[in-house]
Amino acid sequence: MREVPIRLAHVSKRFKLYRDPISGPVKEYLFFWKRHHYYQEIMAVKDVSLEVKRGEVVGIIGPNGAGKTTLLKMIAGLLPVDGGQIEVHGKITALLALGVGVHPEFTGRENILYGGMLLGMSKAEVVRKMPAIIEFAELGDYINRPFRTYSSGMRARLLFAISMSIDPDILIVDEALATGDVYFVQKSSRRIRELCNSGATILFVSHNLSQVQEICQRALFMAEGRIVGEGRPSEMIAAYSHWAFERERRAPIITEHQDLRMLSGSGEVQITAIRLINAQGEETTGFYAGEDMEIEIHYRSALGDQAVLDLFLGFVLASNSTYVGEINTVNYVENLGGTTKRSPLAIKREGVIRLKLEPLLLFNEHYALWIILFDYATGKHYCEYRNLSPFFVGGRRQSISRGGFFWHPSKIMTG
Amino acid sequence: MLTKTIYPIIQHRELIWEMALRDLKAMNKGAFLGYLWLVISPLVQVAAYVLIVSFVFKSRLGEGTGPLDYALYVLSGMIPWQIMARSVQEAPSLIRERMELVKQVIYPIETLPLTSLIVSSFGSLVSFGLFLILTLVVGSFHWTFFLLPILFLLLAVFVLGISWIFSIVGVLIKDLREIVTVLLGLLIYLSPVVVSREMVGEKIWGYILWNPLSHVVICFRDVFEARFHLSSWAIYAAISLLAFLAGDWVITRTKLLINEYI
Repeated sequence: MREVPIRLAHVSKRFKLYRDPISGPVKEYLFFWKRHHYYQEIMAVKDVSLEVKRGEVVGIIGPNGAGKTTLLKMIAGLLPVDGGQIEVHGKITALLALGVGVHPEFTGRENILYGGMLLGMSKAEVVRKMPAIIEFAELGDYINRPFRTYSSGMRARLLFAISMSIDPDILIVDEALATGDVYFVQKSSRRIRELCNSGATILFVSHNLSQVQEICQRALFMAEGRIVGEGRPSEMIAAYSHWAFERERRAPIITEHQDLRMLSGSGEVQITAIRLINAQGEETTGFYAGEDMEIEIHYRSALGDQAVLDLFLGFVLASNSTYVGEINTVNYVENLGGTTKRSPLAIKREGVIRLKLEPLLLFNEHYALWIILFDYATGKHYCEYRNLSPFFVGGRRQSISRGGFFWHPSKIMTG
Repeated sequence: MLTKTIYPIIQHRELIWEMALRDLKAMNKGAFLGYLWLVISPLVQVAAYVLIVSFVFKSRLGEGTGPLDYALYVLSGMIPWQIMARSVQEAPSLIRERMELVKQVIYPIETLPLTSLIVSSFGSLVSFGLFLILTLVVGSFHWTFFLLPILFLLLAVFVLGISWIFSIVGVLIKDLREIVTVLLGLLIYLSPVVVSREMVGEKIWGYILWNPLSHVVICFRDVFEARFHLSSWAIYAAISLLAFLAGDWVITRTKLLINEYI
């Protein structure tokens, strides 16, 4: 067997984007002398060269649309190559999606047989592996019932068990892993490690960065059709999150058009604007993890000059509003000794509340603010806002924890 | 040149067979009569023709023949016609309906027409067996019966070639399936499947001979009647080979490219 089973030299791929997706491809061939009228060309993969050694596990990471899947499909022989050369030596199996060819009326057993054959195994091979697959999927008596009666977890387990039963020379995996409950995910990654140790060459595309870190020896970072980085997985993951962050930072700021409708409250105090400011004093929506961040809350009050109130500022994930952490003036941490006490803010008719986070302890994710202004002493509830001021945190460091934690802001001032 | 199509077929013969069984099984899951439908539906169609032609129009094959002779006549033409027509009708949607499969799995699409041919000829072959037994019991045995495998081989070659072309064109032009269905529905009346030379007269028979598919039916009949229309055999062999070579040319050039259009 060759020492370098996969070799790519200056591979590129053009895609045709048809102006009319239905008649475009037909017209292209009917009126071939003016075929370029009907589509635009897009370079999905540009000049990629790569060598994968035998037994190596290589991860490919990068944003959506970077050309990762296209590259895998070309290596698997599912798409023609437009430029350059691909050499592949050995039996290749592609896991690009789970559940291809599954029929809902077939029993688990039947689906294992046909699913296995579609992955390139012979009938004898599937029959021989059948007991192991059934055991791996842990379906019990359900193995003889139709697939449509399965719960989604059972479905995932069966499909994964089928996929994992192959022992190829070369395995190409696209996002198909890590389904099911925690126990099953662990079992699956054990099986993947087993495959790695068996000497199979594996190419692995994933958005699950910790999985890439865990099982890959080498990682490629692709963006806009090119390989922009190659090296140890931890380095490439850091490069990717930095790249993602820079892209976010370049995105236009949209704080002007924020939705400042109150969710609840009396409305005696209202927020008029929110500004997020980075360490350089610029207004932005992209921050480095560990950088200083200042939040300016502009308010208008009908309470008079001598009023005091409490602030609750929560951080939530922008995607699903999961609570991650908070700052409030009721349990305000006084010092490192850990005693807390209420420190209400004195406010005027109009002004700004400034919070300084030194440093910002959030990681690689989109966040939004959840703000409540209230009076702890009287229990009066002035206003509440959700999903305010979305922002993105990225950086050179890798994500450490996603649990909630309290900050120790050095200053909360009013003015 | 044929190594790119014939070799994969030999290599994947197990897959072709098992996928045909899978499709058959999938078609019949949950049906009470299951596989019986595959035998019943072609027989019912033949019965309908016999009823209409023999009893409604009181038409006869020739002097001194009855409805049973006509039934055998229709059956001998209908069976090869149905095998061919059903496979060719399915061809435009072969790849289109298996988009997910073709996109995600390294699947040899050049084997799809054979899988489909096995599925669509399953029921017809059973009725063909019935028909053979019937002729052996009723009529006499001719040595020409041994030529049947050649005719079936030519039929497979013809269907394979046409299906390769249609399966590729069907990805680009969705209407192809409807066009083919309508055309085949008309062509059956411009062929000797349900009519004979005596029934339609020389002029119309002349038109029928212009339809290349007529010769397929004529050749199958020859075998049962121990006659030879040599020109029909030549045309049948020629169109089969031509279809196969054309299909081979198309599929080897497009089987990878087509993934971009799915």
